[in-house]
Amino acid sequence: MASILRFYHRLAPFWAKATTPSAVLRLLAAMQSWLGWGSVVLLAIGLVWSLLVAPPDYQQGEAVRIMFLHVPCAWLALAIYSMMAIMSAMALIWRHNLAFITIRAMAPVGAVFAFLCLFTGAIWGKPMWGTWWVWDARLTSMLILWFFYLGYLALLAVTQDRGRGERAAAILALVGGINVPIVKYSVDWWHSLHQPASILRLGGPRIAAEILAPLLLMIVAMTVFALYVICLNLRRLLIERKNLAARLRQNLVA
Amino acid sequence: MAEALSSIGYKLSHFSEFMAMGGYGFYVWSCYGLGLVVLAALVMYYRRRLRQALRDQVLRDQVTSGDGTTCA
Repeated sequence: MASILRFYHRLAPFWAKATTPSAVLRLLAAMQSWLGWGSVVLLAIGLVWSLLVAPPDYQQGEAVRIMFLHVPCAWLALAIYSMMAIMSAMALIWRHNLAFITIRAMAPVGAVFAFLCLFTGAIWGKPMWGTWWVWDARLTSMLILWFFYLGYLALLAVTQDRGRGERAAAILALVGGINVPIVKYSVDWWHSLHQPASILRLGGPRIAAEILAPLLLMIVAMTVFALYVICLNLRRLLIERKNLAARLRQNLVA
Repeated sequence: MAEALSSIGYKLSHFSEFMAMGGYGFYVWSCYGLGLVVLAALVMYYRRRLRQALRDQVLRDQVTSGDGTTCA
């Protein structure tokens, strides 16, 4: 820990220069069209592959195609929340404004993916398990993850003082981080209707190559798409904040 | 690649069979339909918010003249 801190403090001057709002805004503006067009191309290939090329599953038939949407949504809901929890810790320790505002930019995107994961899961569950919903460990912990997203957004929305609201919401995001490994390992720790991990598991993926390839492509495509939306939102938040500061300055001058 | 193209060709020429998804059509298409609607709404919403912020920024720069005094 001490060596990490020493490393951080040695990098601090470079870090400070790279994370000024104007440097970040330039970077985001440059990234935006790459991410946007990248997600259009990757999603087009991914969707054609998932819907038209990938073979039906020998047990699930054509219903397996729901997986190509469901799994990327689940991955993004977990990945975005993990990033939010890690950045919350950094933001609370170093009080870096950019960290607070980046978490703010990620939260609604993650919430949408958590919702889509639950929704597509329910629709998939009906023909496969015979029920839309069961209160088992995987489904319940995923629902709690979505509630953490909503709680984070609600806490930001109801607090008047922006700085205090962001700190309180960061503490909530950090506490909710405990739920992420519970979601991931719930299928190993408890009996569940949900199938166990088939990609990220010891001993490598347990899934046929014809289905694994489009799934991985969809995961990459949806991740690029999520980064695009986060880029838009972060740019918007930074510009709005600059505009607000400028308005306040103008009012002081006038 | 040739296999992939023939699969695409087969599915598109047997379109109603493709849409039926082996009896799972309702489940598959409601997932993809909802996903499309929600994600398209998400993108359009944040693109609009960004455009608004950029417009405010331009207005602000016009209001503030070069020497830093304001004429608003």
